[in-house]
Amino acid sequence: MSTETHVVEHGAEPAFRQHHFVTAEQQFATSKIGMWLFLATEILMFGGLFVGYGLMQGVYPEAWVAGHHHLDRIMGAINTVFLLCSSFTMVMAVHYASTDQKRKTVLGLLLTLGFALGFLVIKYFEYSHKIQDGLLPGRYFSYAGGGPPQQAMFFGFYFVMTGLHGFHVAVGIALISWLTVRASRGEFSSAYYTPVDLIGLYWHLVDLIWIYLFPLLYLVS
Amino acid sequence: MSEHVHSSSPRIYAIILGALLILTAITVGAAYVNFGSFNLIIAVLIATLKATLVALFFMHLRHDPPLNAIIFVSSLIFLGLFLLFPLIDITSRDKVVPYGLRMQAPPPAAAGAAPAGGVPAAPPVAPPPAH
Repeated sequence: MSTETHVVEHGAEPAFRQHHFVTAEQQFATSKIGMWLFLATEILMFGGLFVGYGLMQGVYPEAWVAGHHHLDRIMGAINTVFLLCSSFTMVMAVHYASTDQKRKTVLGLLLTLGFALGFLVIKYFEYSHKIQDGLLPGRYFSYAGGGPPQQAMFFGFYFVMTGLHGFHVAVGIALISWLTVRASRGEFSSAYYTPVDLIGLYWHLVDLIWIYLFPLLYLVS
Repeated sequence: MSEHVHSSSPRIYAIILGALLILTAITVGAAYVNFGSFNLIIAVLIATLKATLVALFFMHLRHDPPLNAIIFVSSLIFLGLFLLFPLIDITSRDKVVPYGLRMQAPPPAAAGAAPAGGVPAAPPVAPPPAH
């Protein structure tokens, strides 16, 4: 790379370009690759839980059917709708950030937060209902209604899988809140909206995981 | 970065959301019909279709440089391997029904019937698989 090009580019670039990248596009593409690599690790982490769940369902099918019947499909469906809508509002926020529409970006992020919080509220009701009924993991299982004892294992998986997913939702809420503050300060534009795009990718993955969690835990028996 | 191609329009995002919501309704509806063992396959197929729509359009894989999609698909391939081999293992095992299980420690001379125990002194004859 000749010195002339370097000087010309250096003067014209926005403040965010790091010195080790040639262009802002390259920096953006590289950041995205980094996020996709992280998402791959997340897929495999949750994948491990799915594998365990699937295997144990094969070993104790009656306990799994009994466990399924305790889950509220309506609440699960509402949560699915919440997350799908939140993915939509999130990708809209990314779109508005990339087209210099600050107010709509903030609106999109706020709506995403609303749906995410709604998800956690429903989760709270689900969990408290389970705790009330004694449908808890392992040795804490104290459900009085009978059924195979291995239901305790089902609820071990239920709480770990939905709990880990819920934790990811909470982290997403924190990140999107941070984005909302930055966006309202006008820190994003068509020249630089990388954080919105990357956290959007994370949020879509959270949605993807729930897209599989919902039918496998709530619907299939 | 201003030349970065805007992959999709808000209209397309809204159409995809509509498709996702319809697919969700189909999934829930199908769960109330008894297709036997096909219930699982149907649920996974619909979920995969929804996931594909989210990945292609909401996550912009359709218009991104292909490396992003390669990373994503590779993780799915490895997840597939992760699922496949334990499933082959566990579905090809004989069902061993533990019997004579006792809560207290078995007497030292006899072998406990605990399935995960050590080498039994006199190997118990396992009952035939009850399938």
